[in-house]
Amino acid sequence: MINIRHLQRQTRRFEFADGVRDFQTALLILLMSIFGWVVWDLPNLWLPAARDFMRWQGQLFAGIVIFGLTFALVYLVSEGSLRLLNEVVRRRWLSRKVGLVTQKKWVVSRKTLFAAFTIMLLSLLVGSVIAVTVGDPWLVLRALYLGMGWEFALMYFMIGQELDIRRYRPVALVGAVLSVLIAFAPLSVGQISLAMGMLWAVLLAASGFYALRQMAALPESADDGA
Amino acid sequence: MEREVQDITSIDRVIHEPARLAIVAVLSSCESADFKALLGITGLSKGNLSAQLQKLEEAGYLTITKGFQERYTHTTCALTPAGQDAFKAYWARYKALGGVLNLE
Repeated sequence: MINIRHLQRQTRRFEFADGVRDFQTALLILLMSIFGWVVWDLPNLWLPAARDFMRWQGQLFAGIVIFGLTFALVYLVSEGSLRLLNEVVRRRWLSRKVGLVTQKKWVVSRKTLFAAFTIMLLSLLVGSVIAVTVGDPWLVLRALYLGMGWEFALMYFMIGQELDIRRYRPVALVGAVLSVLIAFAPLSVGQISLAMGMLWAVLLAASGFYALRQMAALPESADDGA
Repeated sequence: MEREVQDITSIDRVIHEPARLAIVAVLSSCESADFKALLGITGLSKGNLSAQLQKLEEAGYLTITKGFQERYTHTTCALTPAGQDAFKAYWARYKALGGVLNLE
C-alpha cells in the first residue's frame, strides 16, 4: 500500500534536509538583528539623516521611503541569498547526490505558522500587560524579542516533528532556553536584538553545517540515468 | 453501497497503479522534481521509473523536460494542471472510499 502522506512529507523534507535553508535564515536573522541594534542603540547614525530627509520630503513620504527601502533590502537579501545558495550548493553540487526538488511557495504547514504567530502575539500581549503593571515600557520590547526567540524555537521544533528532521530538536531547545536568558539579561534593547540574532544565526549555521556534512558523505553521480 | 461500487470501478487507473501513484504523490507536493530525486523518494528502479513517467506523460498528467547540466543529462518532471486535477479527484475519492470501507 502506498503511503501518500509519507511520500509528500519526504518531498517537502528536501527543503530542510540539506541545511541550505538554515544558512539563508541565519543570514536573514543576523541582518534583522543588526538592523534592530542600529535602530535602538545607534540613533546618531541614522536619525539626523532621517530628520533631514523628512524635512525635505515631508514626514509621510520620507517614512514610507525609509520603511520601504528597509523591507526591500531585507527581501532582496533573503531572496538573493536563497537563489545563490540554490544555484551554487543545490544545483551544482547536491543535485548530483540527492537530486533537485523545486518546492511550492509554502513548505511549512499553516498549523506551524499559526502556532509560531500565536506564540509571538501572546508574548507581546503578556509583555504589554507586565510593562503597564510594572511601569517599564521597555519590557514590551524585551517581551517582543523573547516572543521572537520562542517563535523560532516552536517553528523549528514543529518542522522537525512534521518532517522528521531530528537536528531541529536541540536547535529549538537550546534556542528557547537561551532566548529567555538573553531577553532578561542586563542589556540594552539594541544589544538584546543583536544577541538574539547572533544566537539564532549561530544555531542555524551549526545546524546547516551538520546537515551539509551528512550530505557530503553521500555518493555522487553526475548523470541522472534517465 | 452501489454508488461506492461504481466509484471503485470509475477510479482513475492511470494514477491508481502503485508506482505511478507514488510519482504523482511526490510531484503533487512540489513544483517539480528531477529524476534522481524521484528515484530516491519513491524507491523505484531506474527502468521502472522511466517507464511509469512515460505513461504519465502520455496520459497528459506530467511534463518531462530533458536538459543538460555540465555535459550530463538532467531530467525534470512536473505535474500538468490536468495531472493535478486528476490527483486531487483520485485522492478525494480514495479518502471517501476509505471512510466507507472503515465503517463496514
